[in-house]
Amino acid sequence: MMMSYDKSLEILKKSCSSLKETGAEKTACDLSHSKTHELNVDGGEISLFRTIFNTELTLTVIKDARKGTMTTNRTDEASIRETVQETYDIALSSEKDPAYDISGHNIMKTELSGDEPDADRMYERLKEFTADVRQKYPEVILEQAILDYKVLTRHYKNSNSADLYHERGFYEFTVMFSAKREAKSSSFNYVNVTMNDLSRPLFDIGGVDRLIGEAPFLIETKPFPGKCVGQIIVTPECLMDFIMFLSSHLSDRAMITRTSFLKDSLGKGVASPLVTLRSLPLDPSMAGGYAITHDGFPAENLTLIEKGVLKSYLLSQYGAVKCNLDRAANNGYFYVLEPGDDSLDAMIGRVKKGLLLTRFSGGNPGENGDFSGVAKNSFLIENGEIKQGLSETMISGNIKDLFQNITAVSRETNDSGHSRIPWVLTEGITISGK
Amino acid sequence: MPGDYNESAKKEGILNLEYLDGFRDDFSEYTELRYQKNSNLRISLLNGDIVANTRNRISGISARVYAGGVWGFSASPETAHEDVRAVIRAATRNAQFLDSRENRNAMPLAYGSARGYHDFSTIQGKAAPKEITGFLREIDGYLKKSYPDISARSVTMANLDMEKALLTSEGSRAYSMIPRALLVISLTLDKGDGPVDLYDVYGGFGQYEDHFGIAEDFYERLDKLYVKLKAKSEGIYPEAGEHDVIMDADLAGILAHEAIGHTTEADIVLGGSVAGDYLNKEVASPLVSLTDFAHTALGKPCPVPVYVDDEGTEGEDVAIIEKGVLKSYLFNKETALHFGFAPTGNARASEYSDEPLIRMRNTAILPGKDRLGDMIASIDHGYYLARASNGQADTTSEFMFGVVMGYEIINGKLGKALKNTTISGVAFDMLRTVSMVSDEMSWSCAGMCGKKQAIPVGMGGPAVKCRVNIGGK
Repeated sequence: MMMSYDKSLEILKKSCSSLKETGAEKTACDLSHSKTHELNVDGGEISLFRTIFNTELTLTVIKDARKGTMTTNRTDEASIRETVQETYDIALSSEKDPAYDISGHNIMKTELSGDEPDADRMYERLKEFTADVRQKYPEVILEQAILDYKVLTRHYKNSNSADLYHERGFYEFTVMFSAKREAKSSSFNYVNVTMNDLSRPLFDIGGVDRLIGEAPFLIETKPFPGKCVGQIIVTPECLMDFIMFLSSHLSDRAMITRTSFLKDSLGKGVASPLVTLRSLPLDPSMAGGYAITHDGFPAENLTLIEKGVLKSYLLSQYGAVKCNLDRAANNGYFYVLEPGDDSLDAMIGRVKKGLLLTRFSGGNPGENGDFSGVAKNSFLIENGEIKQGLSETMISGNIKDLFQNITAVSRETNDSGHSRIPWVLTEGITISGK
Repeated sequence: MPGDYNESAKKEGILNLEYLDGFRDDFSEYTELRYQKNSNLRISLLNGDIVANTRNRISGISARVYAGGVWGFSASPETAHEDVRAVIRAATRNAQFLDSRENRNAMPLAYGSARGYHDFSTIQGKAAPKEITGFLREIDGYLKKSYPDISARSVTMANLDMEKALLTSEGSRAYSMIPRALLVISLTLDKGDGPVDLYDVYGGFGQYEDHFGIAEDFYERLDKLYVKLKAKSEGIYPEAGEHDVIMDADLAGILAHEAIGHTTEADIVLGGSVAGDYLNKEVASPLVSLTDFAHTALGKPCPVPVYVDDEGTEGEDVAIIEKGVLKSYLFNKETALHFGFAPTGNARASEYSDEPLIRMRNTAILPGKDRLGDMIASIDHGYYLARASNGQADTTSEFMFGVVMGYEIINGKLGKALKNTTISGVAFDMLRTVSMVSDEMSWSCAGMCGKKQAIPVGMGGPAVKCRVNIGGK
C-alpha cells in the first residue's frame, strides 16, 4: 500500500515534536515513500516481476551552529525517538559552521490522482517491444531491459513551519543491448527514457529505435584512421554526459573549493552563443520531475546558460552562503538545450573528417576540465558522409572548450522524457585511432 | 582485525534467523527470504568545514520466488509478521503472474543447501560520533598545517556495515555481517595553470575501530600522497598511442574486474559477451591466471568475503583463467542450470529491496615470478601506471580506465610524473601481450561495482607488463 498524505503527516508530526523536545534551534524532517512495479527482461525474455515498497525518514538537527543528519526507514514511534536522539548526538559531534541553515516558511501540496499501474499493460508493452526487436533487428541481443512504474511521495517539514508535499508517478524504461553476428559482437549500448503513460510503443520513445538500430552497423568496426584535431557531432545521449560534467562545476563542491573552471563566470560567456541550457523539473512534459529541492525549498524552472552566458550556478542554500552567491532555483537535471536552425544532415555534411560520437567512456574529467576517453558506438564521418563504425578510438579535449567551440545545433531534438537535447557540432577535439 | 564474534551482534543475528524460521511454512514455491540491514556512516570535511555528517540505516525484508522459469520479487521495510507474510505472498503472486503468461515450464532449481554464520563486527569498543569527527579533524588539521600550498582538501569517512539473514525453501540458513570502513583523502594543488588533484583511500574490510582512531598513524602516508601530487602538478601528458606499460596492482585489479570479470558473468555471456565463444580456449599469455575468490585468497581473508550467497549457495573460488586458458564463467543457480555447471556462490544483492544478481566477489590476477624493479628496468620508453580513478568495459572486452597517477619510464628508470590520462584496449587482445607479472599482489580496499545495483567488491593483482593504448593531450 502507498503511504497516504495523512499517514505521512502523522509520522512527520511525531518526528518534529520529538525533535523539538531536544531543544535544538533548527530542525527538519524529510519523509520519502516509494512504490515500484518493475518488469525485467534478461537475455531477451521477460523473467522477473518485482514489487517494492520503501520509506526513508531523514532528520536534521542544527544545535549551536552544529549540524547532524540521520536517515532511517523505520517509522514506528520507538524508532523515531531513537533516530532523533542519534541525530542530536551526531550534531553535537560536529563543528560549528554559521552557514548551516534550513529553508524558510513555504506551503505546497501536490497529489496524484491514482497510484496503481496496469501490470497487464506493462507486460503487453514489454512483450511487444521484445517482439519488435526480434523482428526488426534480428542480430540485436537484449542483454537487459527494465520497465517500471514508480510512485514517489516526498513530505518535508521544518521548524520554520515549512510544509511541502509532492507526489509523482511515472514509467521508466531502460534497455541495454548489443548486436552479434557469428563470433563478432558490437559494443553494448543503452538508452533510458521516462514516460507519463504507456500510450505509445516503447520502441517509439526517445532514442530507443535509433540506438538499437545502429547496433548491427557496429559489429564490424575499425579504428579511426590516424590522429587529428577534428570535428565531432555529439548525439543527445552523449551530450547529456558532458552537460552533467558541466553542471558538477556549477555545484557546491567545485564552487566552495574554488576549483571550478566556471568560478567568477556569472554573466560571462561560458559557451557558444548557440547554447541555451535550462533545467525544467516542473515542465509537465517531463516525466518524473521534482517539485522540492534537496534542501527543502519549492523547486522552480531555471535557465543556466542563455545564448552562451552563464545565468545561474547550481548552489544549495549552504553552498550559496559559502560562496556569497544566490541559491539556485533547483538542483539541476531535466535539462533542455534549445534547438538550433541546422538540420542534422546539413551538420554531418559540414564535417570533413571527424566522428559521430554516440557514447563517451572516459575517466572523470580533471578539475581543469580536461577529459580523455574512448569513443564508443561511434561512427567515422568523412567528407560529409557517415562511414564505418569505430573501435579503439580515443578522444581528448576540455569540457569548457567543447561547449565554447559549438558551431552548430540541430533543429531535431531527442525527447527522452527527462531531457530534450539536440545534436551539436563542436570542434577542436583530438581524435586518435591507429 | 575483525574476525571474532561480537556477542551482542551475534545475538541479533541469531534472533534474525530464528525470526525467519517462523515463515518456512509460508513458502509454496522455490523461495528465498532475506532480512537485510545496511548501515552507512558518511562524514565529509571540505577545506575544514563539515559538509556532511550523516548516518543512514536502511533495513527490510524481501522474498524472491521461482515458478516455472520466471521470478517474482517483493520487498518492504516493515518486518512485522503480517508484513513478511504479505511480502512472500506478493513475490509468489508476481512469479505466478509471469508464469501464467510465459509458460516456460523450466526445470526446478535444485542445488541443495548451505549454512553459515559469519559476523565480522569489531571486537574493539565502539567509537562515539565525537571521536570519529575528532579523528577526521586531526587528519584535516595535519593537512592544512603541513601543506599550506594546497588549494583544496577533502577528508571523508565512508563506512558500510552490510548485515544479512537468509532462509530458503531448499534449506539454506545463513547470517553474515560484512563491514567496510574507508578514509578518502583528496588534495588539490593550483599553481596558476589549472588545478591538479589526487586522492587516496585507506582502510577496507572491517569497521572504523579496526582501522582508524590514531591520526598520527596516517601522517607518513599523507606525506607520500602530497609528494606524488607535487610531482603530478609538474607532470607531463603522456605521448598518445600504443606503448609498453607496467600496470600496477590498482590497475591490474580494475582490469581483472571490469575488462575480464564482467565478460565472464553468465548473464552477460547470455547477453552476447565475446567470452561466450572462448570457453576452454587460450585468451591470454600463459603468465596470466585470474580467479574470483569467495572469501580467502592465498591464505588471507579477502576484502569482501562471501561464505554463503543470497541464493543460499556456498561460496567457492572460481578459476576464470588458468595459465592463459578461459576455464569458467560465474554463475547463479539459473544460469548454472542453463550451462550445465554448478552454481558458484556469486549471487549477491546490494540492499534489502534488491534481487540477487551474478556479481564478482574478489577478483584478482594471480602473482607471477618477476620483480617490479626488473619489470621497470626492462622498458626503454613507456609508462608506469600506478593509480586508476574509474574503469568501464563492455561485452567485447574493450575497456577504458582513467589513470590519475603514473610516471614515464625512460631507459629502464622512472622519469617525470604524468597528468591525468586514460588507457584503453581490448582486454582479450591486451592479455596476450603480457610478458611479465610481479611476484607481489595487493587488493584495492575500496572497489565498488555498479551493475544495476552498487555493491562492494574486491579487486586485486600484481604489477603486469603489457602493451596498451594511452591517451595523450
